[in-house]
Amino acid sequence: MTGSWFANLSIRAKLLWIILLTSIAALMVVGLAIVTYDSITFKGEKYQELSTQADLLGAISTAALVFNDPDTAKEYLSALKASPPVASAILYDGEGNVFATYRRSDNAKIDPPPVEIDGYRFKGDDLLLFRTIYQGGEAIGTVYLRTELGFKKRLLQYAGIVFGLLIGSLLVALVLSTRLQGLVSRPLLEVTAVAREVIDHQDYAHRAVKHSEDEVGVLVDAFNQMLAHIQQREAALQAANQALQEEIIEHKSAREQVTSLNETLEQRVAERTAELESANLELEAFSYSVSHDLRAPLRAIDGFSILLQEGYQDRIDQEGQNYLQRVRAATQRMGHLIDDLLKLSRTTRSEMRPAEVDLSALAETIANELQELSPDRQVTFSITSDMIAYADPALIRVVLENLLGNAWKFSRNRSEARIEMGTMINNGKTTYFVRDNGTGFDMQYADRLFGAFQRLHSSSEFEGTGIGLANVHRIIRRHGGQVWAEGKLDEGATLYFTLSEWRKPS
Amino acid sequence: MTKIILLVEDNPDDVELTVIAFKKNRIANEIVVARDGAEALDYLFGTGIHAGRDLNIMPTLILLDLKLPKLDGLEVLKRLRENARTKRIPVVVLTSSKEQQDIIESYNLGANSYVRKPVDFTTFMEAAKQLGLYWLVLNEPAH
Repeated sequence: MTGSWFANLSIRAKLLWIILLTSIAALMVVGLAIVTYDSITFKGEKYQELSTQADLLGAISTAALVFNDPDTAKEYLSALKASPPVASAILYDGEGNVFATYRRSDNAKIDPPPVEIDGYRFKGDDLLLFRTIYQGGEAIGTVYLRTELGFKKRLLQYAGIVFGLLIGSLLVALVLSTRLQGLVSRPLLEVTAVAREVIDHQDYAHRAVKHSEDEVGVLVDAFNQMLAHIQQREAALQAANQALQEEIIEHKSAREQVTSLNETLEQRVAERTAELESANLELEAFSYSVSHDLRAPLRAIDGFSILLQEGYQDRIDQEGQNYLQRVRAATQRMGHLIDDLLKLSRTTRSEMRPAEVDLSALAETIANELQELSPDRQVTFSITSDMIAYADPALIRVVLENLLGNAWKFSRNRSEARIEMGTMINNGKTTYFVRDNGTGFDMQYADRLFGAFQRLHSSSEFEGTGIGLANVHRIIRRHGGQVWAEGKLDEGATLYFTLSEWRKPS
Repeated sequence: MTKIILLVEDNPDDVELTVIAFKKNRIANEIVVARDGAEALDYLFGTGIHAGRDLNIMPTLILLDLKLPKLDGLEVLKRLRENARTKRIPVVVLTSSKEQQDIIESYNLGANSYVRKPVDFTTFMEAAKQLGLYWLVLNEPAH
């Protein structure tokens, strides 16, 4: 709390103090007014009294002055004894010399002041008065009177009375205000009590009772309205809270559901993974079986065909020999198909172990191998240097073997065969390409290039099983890249591929 | 003392073709055929149908197929490498499979060579000739 001590007083005490201070102030003003009025009238009365006595004294002393008879004059002055307020009197002659004196009590000191012109003045608690005595229009002397007013005493008396009145009226005011201030402060105290109740118990249903139509009444009304308003707000807030709580509960249950769904999902993923693993195992067993069991009969067919050809030469005519030769060729071809199929399945199954691969060096190696296999051919290789990629080295080798092998194969009818491997930026991605000036292909079959067993050339034209590019396609897909081809019949082909760039370590 | 070849092979066609291939290459050694893994071990250890066999006579070369009934080729290889009598006999794995895991596992178990049976019989005959020449003539076995 801030402010003066008064500001911190209770309203009851404030009201008491205000009433008391107001009473004191009013009484002081009234007392001061009475004392002032009394002193003015008192002084006026005293002057009148003294003035009359001076006139009287002047009149009776005229003869004594004219006849220079101070004793008589002193006698006259002695008559002042009957007028107790006059403390001393002096009669001066025409020249201003003391003619006769009077003092009421002997111990009163008389120190005759010099004659002054007519008039009066107050000196201390005394009133001094000079009055010239005339005889036939001529000044023959002066009367001087001094009276003790007793003004201070009177003032003290007044002060006592006012003080008594003050005490009395304060007591009355205290009693009255104690009784009456309840009229003002009780409603306020009630409102305060209600406010405290509301604050302590957070119960906005309380209402203050209105006793009057005055400002406190207005305050009570406003306070009650405010409470009603708060009550409404509180209710709305509580409703909102309730709604929020329900929402939270709903949210929680939804989350639990999600969690349980997730668990189910994880379980399902685990199940599916297990299924997939078992399917993979089965596939592996199948591949194993294929590589073993499908080849064995082929070997037998080929072997016994040869034995027939050689051992029964004399009993089989030329046509029969020819048929046996074709049986053998078909058998060999079947063997290659089985081998390529196994390669394709191995491509899908094998684990990826990406590493940095120097594609340029790899392409050079493959080019040399191709050249060694067909030393007669004249092929110009143009391989861009320092092509570094992030890929599985074994799989990317299969890709390059196929692409360069194809380029080699399909350019064999060219007297000046050219095979180019390089890199370019296509749609912001590093793109590798292998280009040849070979037999090319018709673009309308471009999408069939990458399907398994899809061939655009007859076996008599160019040998092959139609597995190579399907394999390339799978490998590039496993690397998160793309592969596509451009070509023109009899003008050559270009094969493009990308590798996922995010696989590169930063 | 003739050098015996033990041929472990379940496919009768392959058995016959192998025998013919050796004959045609003038490899006249005796060829003992075991039709499955168990029979191969019986012959090597003198058990089962080969009980009482003179175990001083051991093959100079074992041609082992991998895919066999009862005990497979790798198991046979493992067992004979564990036995003191048979652990130094040269074993050539002769099979259709080119699976990397088969090759690795065979060498791990102590195979001396791994030859894939080609479909082309002429190639196979060439392989048989080379094998005979190398393992029966050039190679010095431990006795």
